[in-house]
Amino acid sequence: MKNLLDRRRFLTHGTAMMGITLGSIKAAGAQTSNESSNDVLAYGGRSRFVTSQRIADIDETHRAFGRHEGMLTPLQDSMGIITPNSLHFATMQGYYPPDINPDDHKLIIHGMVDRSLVFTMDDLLRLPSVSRIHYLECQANRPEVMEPTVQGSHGKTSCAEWTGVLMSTLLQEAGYDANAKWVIYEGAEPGKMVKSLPMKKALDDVMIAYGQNGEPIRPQNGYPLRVLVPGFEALYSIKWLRRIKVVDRPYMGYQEIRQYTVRPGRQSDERTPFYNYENGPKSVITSPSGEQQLMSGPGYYRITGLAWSGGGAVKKVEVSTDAGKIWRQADIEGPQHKMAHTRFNSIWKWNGEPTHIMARCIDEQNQVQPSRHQFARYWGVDPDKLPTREQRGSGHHNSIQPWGIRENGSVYNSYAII
Amino acid sequence: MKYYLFSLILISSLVQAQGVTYNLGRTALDSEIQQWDIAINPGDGKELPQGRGSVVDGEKLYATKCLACHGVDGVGASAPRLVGRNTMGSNWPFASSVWSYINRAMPLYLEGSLSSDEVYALTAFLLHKNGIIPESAELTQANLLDVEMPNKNGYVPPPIDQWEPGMQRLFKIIGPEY
Ligand code: HEC
Repeated sequence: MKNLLDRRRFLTHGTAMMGITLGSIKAAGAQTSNESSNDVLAYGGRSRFVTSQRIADIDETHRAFGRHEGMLTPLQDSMGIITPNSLHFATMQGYYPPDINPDDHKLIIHGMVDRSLVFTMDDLLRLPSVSRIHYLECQANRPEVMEPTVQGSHGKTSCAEWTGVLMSTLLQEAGYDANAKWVIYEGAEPGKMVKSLPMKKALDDVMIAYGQNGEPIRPQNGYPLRVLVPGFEALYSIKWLRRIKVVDRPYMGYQEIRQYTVRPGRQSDERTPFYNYENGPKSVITSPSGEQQLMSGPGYYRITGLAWSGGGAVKKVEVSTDAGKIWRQADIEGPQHKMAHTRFNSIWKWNGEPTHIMARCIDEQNQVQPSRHQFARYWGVDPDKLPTREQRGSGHHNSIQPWGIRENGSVYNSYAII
Repeated sequence: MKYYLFSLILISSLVQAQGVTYNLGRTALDSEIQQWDIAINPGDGKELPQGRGSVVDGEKLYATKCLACHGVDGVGASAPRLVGRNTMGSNWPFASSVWSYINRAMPLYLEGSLSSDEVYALTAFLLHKNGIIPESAELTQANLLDVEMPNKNGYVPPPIDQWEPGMQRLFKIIGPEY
């Protein structure tokens, strides 16, 4: 209590001091900045010159019913590998985040276990924790003929440091049945989204996370508790988690059927596997990218982008600046965590002629990111029909995204051409 | 000293075998579990609550609770079509998925407001509209999983025993013939 009082006194004092300082700066004729608001001082904001924002992931059905459309990360402005929490993508199946008081939140574990248990958030904070850097990527994230920008086509992926308890720790606390092959788990949002996961994965590296980049998970990303399934399509990482059940088979909930699991290029009524797991090896040049401009004509530019794979760490990234004829190895800028965004750079001297630039990812298992034509050939579908919004079942799609450069330096989406 | 160390090791390995390492979390009440245990096992449907509802009951409920968004006969409105190609009738492999989804997620904005009987009735009506069960049918917890969905073989079970941590993408292994 005393500490709290002291702190409060300090804050009041500190703010008063700051008022004086800011006042004098203003008097001196400096520009007013948003730093003068107390809220911004207590919880830091960014410079008014930084305007990068998420945009809505347009969904006509959700819009028709006033539902949440999901938000896309502005990859074109991204730096390094961590997505700031305010800019993390959010795909919410139409639901606005439930307003959960963490003191009331509980997590039930039951089913094929020795002891059915209820954990409060306080219980979870007392258990051993891990912090790991992992990307999340929606299965629908993909190059798209009609999307002019990288935010529109690839904005359904982000990367954060997640903190929480391993699911294996909780399963051991409850004493799971060794014969159980699956777990299912469910969120607390109005539609109670449910997902099935192989037990082997649950025991391997799945996290029950409460922290995101050093603070509690944001509401749109699952506050106060979410599942984080490294390397698997983000649909597996249920948010607002309230229940885990140990079971003997997959349950086929709503988001496990319909178009969610359909194989690439097929209609949803055609034969398809139950589930898809890992995202394929993937990369995209984030700058220069669609609708940007090579400002100063011919000369040196930094090609920068992100690579990731559900198959583990990114081993290398190759970049082509001549529409895919010659590939050169890019520089890796920072850490190469498993199932995490990895930043690559390649310094390029543009000669001023029109061309196409593109990147491809090779992961630690030597899986290579395919071109549009390779991807289509593998699935036996027409490459020209593959990447359109209208085509159902175009998810799980990891083909290469080319960006065209015009003579005047403007950059455009050339997926349909290459 | 030796003996002491030995028993310490013994105790800790016993604890591990039991799986209780931290003794956190309280025992869940049966009533709590029952209230939240809403995902339905497509094999034996053991989570289905008791209840019953007929196609005829479902038709009336549909008109008051669903029609505004899903249209007359499940087509022609702005919410997804419920009858015909690329719908629950043609695509979903198990009747349990239909029951479970209506129960948890519909009607939109009034999720969780339907009684079990109402969910059986609405499921019956929509399956009838898709030509899967006759107009005289009544569904209960005992017969829901006897309903044969047209696409019951359309989903190929995952070769789950083949999945290991760190393996290549399952897609690549199962291949396009799937
Ligand atoms: C307020 C509008 C609204 C009402 C009322 C409503 N629904 Fe829906 N329904 C929707 C929307 C929107 C979706 C799509 C949900 C999504 O994409 O997540 C949907 C989806 C469905 C689906 C899944 C369809 C598919 O193939 O994806 C079923 C089944 C369904 N509703 C049944 C019902 C039933 C039965 C009722 C009446 C109890 C009902 N709905 C009432 C708006 C509504």
